[in-house]
Amino acid sequence: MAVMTNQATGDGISVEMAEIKVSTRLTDRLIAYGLGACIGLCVYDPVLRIAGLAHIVLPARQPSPGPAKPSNMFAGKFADTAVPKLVEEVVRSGGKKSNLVAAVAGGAHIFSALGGSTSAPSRLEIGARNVLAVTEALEREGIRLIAQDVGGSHGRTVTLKACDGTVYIRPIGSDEVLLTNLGKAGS
Amino acid sequence: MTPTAFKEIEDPQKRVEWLVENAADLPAQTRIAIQVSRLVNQRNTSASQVANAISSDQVLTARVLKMANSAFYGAPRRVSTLTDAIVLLGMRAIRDMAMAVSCQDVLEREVKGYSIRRGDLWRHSSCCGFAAQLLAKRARYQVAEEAFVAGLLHDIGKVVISHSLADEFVEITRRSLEEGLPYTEAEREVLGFDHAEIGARMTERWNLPPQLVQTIQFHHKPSEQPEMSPLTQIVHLADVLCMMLGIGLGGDGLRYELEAGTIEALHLTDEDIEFVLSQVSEIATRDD
Repeated sequence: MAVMTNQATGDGISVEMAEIKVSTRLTDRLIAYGLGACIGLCVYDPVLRIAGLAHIVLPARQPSPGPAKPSNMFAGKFADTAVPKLVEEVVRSGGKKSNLVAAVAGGAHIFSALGGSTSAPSRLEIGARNVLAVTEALEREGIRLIAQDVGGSHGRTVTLKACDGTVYIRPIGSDEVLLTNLGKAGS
Repeated sequence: MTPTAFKEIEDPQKRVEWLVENAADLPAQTRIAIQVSRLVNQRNTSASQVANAISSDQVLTARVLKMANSAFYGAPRRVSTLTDAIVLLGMRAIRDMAMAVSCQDVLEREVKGYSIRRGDLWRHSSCCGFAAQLLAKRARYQVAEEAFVAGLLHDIGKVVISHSLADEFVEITRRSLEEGLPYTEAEREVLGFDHAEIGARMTERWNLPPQLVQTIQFHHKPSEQPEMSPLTQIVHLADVLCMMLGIGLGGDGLRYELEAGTIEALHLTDEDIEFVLSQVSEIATRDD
């Protein structure tokens, strides 16, 4: 089940590739482990304290996506559809769209000359294209992007705490650091 | 010789020899998997011969059945016996499964030097095998099964290096970051060799096929292989794609290069690459 509203269990909830998870339980932490070029998109309603996280893999669905999958399976896979779906799920769980704020992590690139250019990324720069696609989709939804930790050639784990909207980044092999506090972003 | 004495060896080649000599023996289950591989590659081998070879080890049998029922293979119905698995999925698939699961114990360990958590190298390796197989099919490489096994074993050298040389990784990582070096170059600067070379020497000692040994050796630099090999290019690309997906990343992260021209040499398109990324992302769920 790729779209899940967690109300039954507490603490660390892993959000796998292509998954979307939403939590209304204040003890929960939504976690996307080991992001490479993928994006961990955190969305938070600081008033109603509802948290959502999507683990996005690719910028957009290809014209020929292969065999059809049930509509909710892998709902978080493509940025163009994952962003509205995540917003929809947070609202379905009681959040208010106009309250929502976001943070983005991931979008790393393979070590090489790639990734440093300022022009439009080439097709194989999946990380940079993911960042761009998520940013554009957030703009379309009218969701304010508060903070981001993107790029580089390292993996990272992102954690969103449902109780206060704090977002932590742990670069693999290093210590966890606070990225932002989405809970205070609305004020 | 103690690990301390080992660190006093200055000649990198002698260090490689010591590491390979002192590395663990080939797991017993892998011996059976190699035997199965030989059987399947012979003409006229029957399903029962293959089933008998695998069933000589109960743990191996249970693991093969578990894998046959996993999302990797997507059997049309539940598989409960080896013969059933062979009939439904084919002998070659069973051969690859036996090889895969036989290496699981080794690849599932925590790989401290690389800051790879327990289970993550196995996830990376098995997904790389899957990605390599998909790429091989898209590239019309004739023996897609070889790609699976090569993808599975490509990083086995990391286990050996990390076990014996955990302290050196602070310096390797520092050099890679501060001097802007790909991780394998930093390994060579600090150790005198890299994980690909150790993996190759290990698998050579295990008498695995020379083509597989070469693929492991050159999986970060396919162009340096004396005879260009599509199999090496496929595994190189599969490894990069799994890193991009973040599967089993360690402290070395994505600090490896994608050799220019690899995708073109395999006659693959950007759409092929996105297709493989998409497929692999669906099967790469964590167990914990």
